[in-house]
Amino acid sequence: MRETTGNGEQPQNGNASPRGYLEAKGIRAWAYTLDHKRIGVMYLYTTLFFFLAGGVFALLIRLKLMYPGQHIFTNQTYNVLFTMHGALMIFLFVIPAIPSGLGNFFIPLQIGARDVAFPRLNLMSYWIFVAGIVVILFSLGRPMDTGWTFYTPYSARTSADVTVLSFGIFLVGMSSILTGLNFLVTIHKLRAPGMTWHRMPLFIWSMYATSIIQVLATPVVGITFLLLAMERLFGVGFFDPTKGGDPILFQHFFWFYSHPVVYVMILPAMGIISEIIPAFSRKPIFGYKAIAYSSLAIAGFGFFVWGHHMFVTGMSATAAIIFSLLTYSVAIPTAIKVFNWLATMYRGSITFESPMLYALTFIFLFVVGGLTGMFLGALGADIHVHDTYFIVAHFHYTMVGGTVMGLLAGLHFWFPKMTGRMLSEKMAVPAWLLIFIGFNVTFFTQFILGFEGMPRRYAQYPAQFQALNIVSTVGSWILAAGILIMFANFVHGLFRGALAPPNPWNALSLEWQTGSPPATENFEEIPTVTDWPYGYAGRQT
Amino acid sequence: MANAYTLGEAASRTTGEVDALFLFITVVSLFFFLLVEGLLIYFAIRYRRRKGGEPSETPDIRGNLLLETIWILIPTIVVASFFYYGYRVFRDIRTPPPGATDIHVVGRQWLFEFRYPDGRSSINEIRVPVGRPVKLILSSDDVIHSFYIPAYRLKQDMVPGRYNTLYLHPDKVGTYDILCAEYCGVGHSTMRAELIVMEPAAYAAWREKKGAPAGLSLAGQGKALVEKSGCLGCHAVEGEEKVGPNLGGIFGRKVLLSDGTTVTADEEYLRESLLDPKAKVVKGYPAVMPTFKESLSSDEVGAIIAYLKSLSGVKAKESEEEKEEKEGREAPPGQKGKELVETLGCLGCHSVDGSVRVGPSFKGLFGGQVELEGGGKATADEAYLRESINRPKAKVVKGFPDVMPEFQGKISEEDLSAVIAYLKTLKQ
Repeated sequence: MRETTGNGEQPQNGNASPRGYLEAKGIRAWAYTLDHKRIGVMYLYTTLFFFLAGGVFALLIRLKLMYPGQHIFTNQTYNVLFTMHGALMIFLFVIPAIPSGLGNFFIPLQIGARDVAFPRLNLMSYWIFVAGIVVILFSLGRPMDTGWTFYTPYSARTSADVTVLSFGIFLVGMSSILTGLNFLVTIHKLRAPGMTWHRMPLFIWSMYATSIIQVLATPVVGITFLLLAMERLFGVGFFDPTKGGDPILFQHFFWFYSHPVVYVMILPAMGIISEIIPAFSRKPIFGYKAIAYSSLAIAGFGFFVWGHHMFVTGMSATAAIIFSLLTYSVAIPTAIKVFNWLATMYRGSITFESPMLYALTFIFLFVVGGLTGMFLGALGADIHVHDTYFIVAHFHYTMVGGTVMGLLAGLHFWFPKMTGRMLSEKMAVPAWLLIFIGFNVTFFTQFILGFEGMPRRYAQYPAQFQALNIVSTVGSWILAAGILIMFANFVHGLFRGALAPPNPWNALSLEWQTGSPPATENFEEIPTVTDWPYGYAGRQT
Repeated sequence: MANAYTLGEAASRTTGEVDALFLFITVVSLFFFLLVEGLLIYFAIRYRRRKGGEPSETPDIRGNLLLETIWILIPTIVVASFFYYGYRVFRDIRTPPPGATDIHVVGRQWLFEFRYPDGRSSINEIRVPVGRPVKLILSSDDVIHSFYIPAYRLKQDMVPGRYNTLYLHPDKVGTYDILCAEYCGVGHSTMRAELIVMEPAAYAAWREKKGAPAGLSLAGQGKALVEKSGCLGCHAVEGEEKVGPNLGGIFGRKVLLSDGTTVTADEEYLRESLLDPKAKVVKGYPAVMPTFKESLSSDEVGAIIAYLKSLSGVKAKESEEEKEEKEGREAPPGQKGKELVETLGCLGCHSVDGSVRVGPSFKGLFGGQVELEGGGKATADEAYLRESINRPKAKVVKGFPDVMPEFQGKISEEDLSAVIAYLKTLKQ
């Protein structure tokens, strides 16, 4: 059915209704929706808002660090800024953005289902997430100054509102567990007829591995924050050595969650890259099973390496050596993925639209993040750069260079599907270039600062570090300019973008075999799957 | 001092070893960086779809077992070499050097206090002679700090409730930054100290000039504490045993515990046994010892351990070398207050040279006008200082965070007067 829109364009979205799932309007149509697509979109709006908020904090941090002394902000304000930057970015953006946002939207579409297994639970997850955010905002009355890691005894003693903030994160964690559970059941039970495990898109494999971690690891951080709250409220000495507790125990608990959770952040991004590289190379993915199983391997090994965050705490030498060895085991499945993506490009017919630019950037930056991790796994080297800017640079290369680039690749890739409109490539390419340059200027300098011995979380620093800090700050402005242009492109695309055809990239997975945007029930008829989604080989025109 | 951070300047044995490890990982990683990024860029250019050219055909390649095996094996070998080399350097860092001088380091918000075997202590400055290894015994009185010497490539956390050790090999004369590397609050980034490595002759001359330490040696203080705290009621120094094991020769010995395991009676074990005696009871003795958690400060625990060590013949070198008699000099005005200001931790936040740290500097404070938070002014006279030490939150100076702890009930009237007398001497 074809309809004519106001400006005379022909909608080609292949839907009965041109606006698809976006047809119903009004606040109730969103707030009470059971549609996984609408819930995914709400997650995306919420998480991207905190991406921008966290980004503003980052810019303020960099501004202050242009000067070695007390400038612009007091040291206490600076401590609040880096804490809020870390806590908001990690808990309200990087962890939920891809799984809860893009995952919600695309898991049912990619496996040919009409919704997730438990739509009501899905809506509840979202509102628990929002409740967590509200609680976190309440803590701003006495803002947190502990860093996002909450190390005791400092976090047990500071006058900041640690109890309220950690309760907020407890709620956000609840939401994360429920979402993971929902996805696991969805992937097990709701695949379209003919979609065997080895015909699933690799994004689904990575989301499956991610969900396992969310369900198994998140309860630990919830319990840890409850113990911390009991220590603060009732003086129970779990972690306070003057009451018989052990502050190092807190770090074990914290990292038992927070290390696996970095794979919650990176695995979904790797899944997105595994979709985009073959689609834009017009060639089958190389080593499908290796990529799929390496996701599970990363999720599994990821549970046994938390001790590498604690090499200088005074843990026993034996434990440190074992953790160092185990840490390197995670490097292998990660390397496998990178080599497989490269081999997929080999003899392809590659085009460079914005999703592919971000996907290639992901590989480029993630390789730097991975290789610098080699220094941190080596005991003798980690002792020197632990808790310095080397660490800051390393995790920004993996979390921004990796996860955020993967998210941006996914947003550019799926924007036409989610909104029914195309983004402007004319805006997307300069935005990408500024982000790429700005990111490297900001963070590569920090590797050098770290090796030279500048500790992280320093409001003031020895004057010899100033030159590189100024370079890094200028980089943060370039990065911010790129991100602003990118968001302008999103807004422009949302209202003025050209209407999108159902399959603008000629991709083969199921979400492209329905309308843009999809109808509320996703597919008129549930498709029957006969092949894997990467049969791109053949003549390209 | 800036060049203390650059490569190749072997300030210490560990500097060279860690830098060599960095160099090795850098070279190997650089190879893989160039390989992977090179292929990424080469493939992107070589296999781009040309506009207007012949339509290209892509092959149906889905995998290659040989290739995949190779790129599992090679990274495995590479990371195994990183692991092994990192472990070797770590082992060297952790191996106790023979004949090391013990120095206790206590972290407080926001200063480092160093306690030498001869009973001397210093704040934010540690002096050692070149060429002689040092064993630092690290602990904290409040939150976690981290003792970091960038020029030595060494770092170790200072954790309340436990001792960590760090060995230094000062090979080169110079002054090196010591930085706190674990976030510890508003004064974290100004919690810095200096390691001053001196020629042995210059070191001896400095000690000469500095004069004999004000009190007993650290082991001497420990002996007095052992006598005062009633330890001798159950522990004999030597000879026939009383309720508990003898103190003589305990340090460094392997002891069999009641649960059948053995531990070495090192600093950490002795500290634990003083504070939590029931945790590890020596086999054959009743578990009756009370805890000294409340009654001994961390400094006092350190002194007792130094005494136990001296009983085992592990005599701190320093104290043997110079057994100078205490001089009965007349203390200059403010001397007692100065010592109190140092030991109470005031210098973590307040400087005496006019520089601004977490709180206002003591220099020129007395008698001056201060602007208060919430408007109003006050003269920093005796009454104001007395109130600000007892109840700091009553009148906070404008522009400074409200973080100072209360000293009411923690400081005697006499000591309070001594501190204020000292602050008076800092008037310009």
